[in-house]
Amino acid sequence: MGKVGNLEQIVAEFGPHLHDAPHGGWRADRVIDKVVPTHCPYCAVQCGMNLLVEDNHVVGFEPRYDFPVNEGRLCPKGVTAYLQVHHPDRLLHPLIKRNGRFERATWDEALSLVAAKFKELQAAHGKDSIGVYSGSSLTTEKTYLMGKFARAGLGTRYVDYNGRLCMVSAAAGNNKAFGIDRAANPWDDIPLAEVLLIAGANCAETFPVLNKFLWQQRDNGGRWIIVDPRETPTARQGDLHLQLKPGTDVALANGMLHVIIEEGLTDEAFIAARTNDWEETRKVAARYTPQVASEITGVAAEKIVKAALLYGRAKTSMMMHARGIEHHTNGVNNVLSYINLVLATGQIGRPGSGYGTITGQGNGQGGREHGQKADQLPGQRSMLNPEHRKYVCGVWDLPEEELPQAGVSVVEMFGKMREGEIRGLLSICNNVMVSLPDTNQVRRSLEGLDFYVCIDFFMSEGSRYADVVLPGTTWSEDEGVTCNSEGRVVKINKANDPPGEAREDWWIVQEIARRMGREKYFAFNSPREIFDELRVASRGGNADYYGISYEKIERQNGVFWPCPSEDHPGTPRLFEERFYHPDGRAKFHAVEYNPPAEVPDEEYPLILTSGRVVYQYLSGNQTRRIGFLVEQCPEPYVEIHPETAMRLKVNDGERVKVVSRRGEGIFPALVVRTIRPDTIFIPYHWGEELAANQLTNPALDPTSKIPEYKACAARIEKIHSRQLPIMGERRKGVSRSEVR
Amino acid sequence: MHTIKTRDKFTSVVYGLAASAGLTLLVIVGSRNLEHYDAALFGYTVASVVAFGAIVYRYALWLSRPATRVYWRRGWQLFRDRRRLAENTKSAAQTITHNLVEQRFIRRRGFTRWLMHALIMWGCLLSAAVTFPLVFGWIHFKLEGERGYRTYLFGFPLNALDGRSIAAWVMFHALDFTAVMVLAGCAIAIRRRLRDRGAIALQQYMLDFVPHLLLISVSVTGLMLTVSSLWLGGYMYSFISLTHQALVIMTLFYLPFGKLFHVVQRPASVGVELYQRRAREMPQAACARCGVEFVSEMWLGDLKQVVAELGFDYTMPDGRQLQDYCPRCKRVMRGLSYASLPDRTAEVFRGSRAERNVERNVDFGLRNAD
Amino acid sequence: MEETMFIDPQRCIGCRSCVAACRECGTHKGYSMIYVDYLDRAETTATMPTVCMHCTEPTCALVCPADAIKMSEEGIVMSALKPRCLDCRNCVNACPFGVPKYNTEMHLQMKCDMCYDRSSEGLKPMCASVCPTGAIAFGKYEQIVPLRRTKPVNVHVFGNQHVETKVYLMLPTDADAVEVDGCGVFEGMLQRPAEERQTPTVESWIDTQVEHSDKSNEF
Repeated sequence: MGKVGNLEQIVAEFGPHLHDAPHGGWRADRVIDKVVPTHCPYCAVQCGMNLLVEDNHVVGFEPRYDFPVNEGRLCPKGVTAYLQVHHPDRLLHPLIKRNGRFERATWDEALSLVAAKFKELQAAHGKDSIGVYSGSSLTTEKTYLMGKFARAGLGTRYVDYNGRLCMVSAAAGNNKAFGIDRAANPWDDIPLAEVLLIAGANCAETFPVLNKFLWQQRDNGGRWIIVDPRETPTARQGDLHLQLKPGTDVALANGMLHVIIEEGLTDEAFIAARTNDWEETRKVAARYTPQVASEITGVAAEKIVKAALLYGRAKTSMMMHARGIEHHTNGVNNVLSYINLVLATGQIGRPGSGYGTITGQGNGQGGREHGQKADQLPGQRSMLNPEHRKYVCGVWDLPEEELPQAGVSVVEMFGKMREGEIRGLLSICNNVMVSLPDTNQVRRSLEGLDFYVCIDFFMSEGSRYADVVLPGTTWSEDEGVTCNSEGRVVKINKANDPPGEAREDWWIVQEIARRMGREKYFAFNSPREIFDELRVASRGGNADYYGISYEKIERQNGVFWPCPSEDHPGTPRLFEERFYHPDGRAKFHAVEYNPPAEVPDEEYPLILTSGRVVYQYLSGNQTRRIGFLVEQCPEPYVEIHPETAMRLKVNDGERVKVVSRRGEGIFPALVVRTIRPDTIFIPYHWGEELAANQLTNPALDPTSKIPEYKACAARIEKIHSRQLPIMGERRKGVSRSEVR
Repeated sequence: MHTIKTRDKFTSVVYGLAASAGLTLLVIVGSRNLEHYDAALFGYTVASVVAFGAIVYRYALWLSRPATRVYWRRGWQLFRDRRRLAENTKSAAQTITHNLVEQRFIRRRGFTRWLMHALIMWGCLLSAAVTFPLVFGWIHFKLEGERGYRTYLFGFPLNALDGRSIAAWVMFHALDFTAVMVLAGCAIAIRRRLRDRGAIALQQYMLDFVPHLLLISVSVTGLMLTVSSLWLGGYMYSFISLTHQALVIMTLFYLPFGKLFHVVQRPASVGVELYQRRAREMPQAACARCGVEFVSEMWLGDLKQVVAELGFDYTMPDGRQLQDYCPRCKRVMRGLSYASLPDRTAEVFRGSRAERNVERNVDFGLRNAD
Repeated sequence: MEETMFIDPQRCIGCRSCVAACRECGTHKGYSMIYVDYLDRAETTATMPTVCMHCTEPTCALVCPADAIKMSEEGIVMSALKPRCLDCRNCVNACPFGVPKYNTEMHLQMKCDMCYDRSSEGLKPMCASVCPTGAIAFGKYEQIVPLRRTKPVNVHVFGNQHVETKVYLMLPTDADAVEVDGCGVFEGMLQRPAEERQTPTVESWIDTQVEHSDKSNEF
């Protein structure tokens, strides 16, 4: 079971195939029946867009100028998002794998098989033998339902979500420092900040529309300090670029803190009134002189001083970070070290002053609030807290002893699959063969499963290993809410009916639960009913949705949680008066620099870091099918600095072998001066032999259990046997509008 | 910048008058000193003569545009090349078939678009082929025997025809068929013009609707003549006939100035095609910056000459012309010029170039990567 | 129309959102008319967005032998009139900005017409609507300029030729014109040894050929 079968045949049948036209082709003479205001399915900016619907088909988009976050703006993924809805690769009916081939099945057949197999496995190996692996691109209703499905439907402790690969370090850091997990400020505050400190966030490529606020701040005379090992477009445009060695953020932040303390730029009144544990932090920072920090980070000491002075002297400033500092074995420490800077300067809880992580996935924020995390219950409640358990069991009407204990993170779950503890898996909204680190081990895990079910709307690299694939919906075929990176809850609206026999994800999950005799807990008829239960389940928790309604969202263009009552307008800015620890204070954390789990050595002399390009989204299951996007960036490449390339005698465009302790891959070289000479970079959106994650290190952060995607040791080998053709301009991302 | 020279205008007027005179002469000769000329069609004749003169005037004026003149001369020069005359003739014939007769390029834009154009074009051309010789008295018929007709062209007898045969019926009703073709074509065109967002935005009443309205009204009044004579016993025949005549004359006068001028202009694409085809075989000019061969030397030379004649001076400091660079390099060069503008604080496109000197001092701890 | 475009390449993040969105306009549905070019990717991520600048005396229109390129009353230089365009492509090589595109098979010249279907109805063109950073902005002079710290300039100097345009370029300096003199800061190509330069291609129209799209839309 679980073997991929005939790969070529699966690719031929289910793609990815390129398609680049709306349903019925490019036509200017459409008769539009309705215009549906909704949001982009991709990143956590959750840009507003209007979908144009003709005859139950989404045939185009129109900018949604009246939505305050993006005011009509979209990135290329957003512009082409509607092209996925009627893409020929869509899965249109349930599939059951027989003899290595996916065969068409009826819903009844497929669902009954799933229920029977799950029951069989649970009877033989216990409740915990089934794992559920969910995702954060689902609507909040669905993420809530997935948590409930695992706990109340299957009764397994093993549930986790793909935010584990994304924002958990930030979540853990925020919880430790502030007692709550949400960005502190609305983005309207960005233009009011004199200085922006942006660490590990390639805003230009990963959150393009966020740049609207960044440039508004610039237009107001603001300055940017960018911390990034690569000179991304954002770094290029910034005023000060600290091009540090990957994984050395703690040293850099401590170094900056050192200068801030030395120069007397700390806000002592704020520290005294609103924080704890400053003393230890100060002592640690004292050891990180700019020279020490410079030695560790590879950033010139004078630049660290300059950055510290710029940040420390600003009357208002905001600190933002993203995956670049979070995808590390020190991810949580990295986050905490930057939060120390924020707290030491007292730059939080005021207009133009604040802090925030930039969430990656569309519902990255909402997806980590309502109980699909291994240790979490709805409303950011904890699995480990008896009171929280009691409350949620009350809402669900579930006997308390039936609620399982906390599970483990997804990377650990995949370990348990190899060990045989987890025998069956249901996954939705993720693509494990692309997004998990160390792809070769992931493959072994999947092949070891007794039964694997996937809910997907395109056949992903991961679903190929499934025994049953159930066709779900794209974002335009269902309604629900998502929470963007600011903490603004927005509403996704339904534009068209699912094509073929595809069904809403919540229906599919409920049907499985019903067939397992758990219909009592799954009697929802619409997302609205799920949302109503979610409101109650989250009531009184940190992420309190009780006062949010679909209507209020429409009326206010989104509602910021917490929103504890129906007459409450929501809370755009947090921490204006108190933090969320019981004593109302924020906590400093004295963090020491630790090198990444793997550092360069004789055998693997380079640091490999991974990341995204603007044309592809996460595991690429959606974007690698859209012609326009693939033309802009058809395949992964490895960025090498000219000095390194010269030493290795590698030419621009030449294919080279990149080797790490876990695997190797062949990628064309992009020789650019915009990366550090000791670092190489590969975008990770591809699967199989193109996967950057064949090489990455599955070492985990001890707190957040995030894998270290952003730093591992690697070497580059020249392929001597033959020189493959240089792809030239195409590979560099020159669009087809220029080169044919 | 470029205005039409008085000399060109004068020459064009002369060409126009000569053309009108020539056509008048042909009418007289063709109808054997007006022996076969039908005086009732005098209005049509005058309008045709005037419109023909105007078209030639307009064509001559058009050819006096620097760009057109260069293409025109170079096109003929290339065509007349003795060693290639046969090849050129073949290629011209091919272009005429593909572009003018089959109109493949319109077919590639869309089938209905092609159908629309074919219906209107063949409808109009066939109608013209029938009516103009009749109006000018170049063709006339004589009864021969019981029900036979003999056709005379320029007064020379052609074959005789049974008046009740299908062929004769088709011939006598040719204008009805062409009218239906034109109507169908216009219907397709107008449907598109009412639905396509692009067309709606760009179309202008005088340019895009008037020609269709004229063609439709000419066709409808023409069909009404048939209806009147066949089934209504000539009811209002003369009124309809006058209206028809007025509309046809309006259309003829619209020809040289409106959208319909493309009918006489389009055949020039045969010359352009030949020019392009030969240009591809000739030495190519490489972009002065990136080295990509992007256009033929002959074409680039002609283009630079035209640009200079028009009063532009794109001479760059290095003596080259801006047109010596390929389109992409023109865009990149502009970007580089922008990038090299000094900012108050730093270079416009900040980044590694600005900071490289700082970074150079730092030891990255890179081991021997070999 | 009082509105025009303001191009600020400094802000461009090279995302090509504009390139994708350009295809949504009614006047050239399915075809993109905008360019985003890397200046020199080996050196920098800087990119240059190019739309039609809508010259007040358009070179493309004057070099057209068919007199097919017309200006609207508002000063927008339109795509060549389809019935007139003779497939000669003079406009493509004469344009000082490298803007017009051509499809040989359909005898169709196309260029940016500021999304005439949208702008004539008071809507922003697609590229200016979606541009995340405001590198391409559309609006009235007095609306856009006060918001920016850059200086709007609508004169380019190409060697000896002054070209005035309807569209503005936002400069970070006090210059009154952009001078394009043929050599920029990153001019790398010519200094490189001959064998490293791009190999010449036989098809000379690589740049400006309109790509094939599906044929559902009619032109």
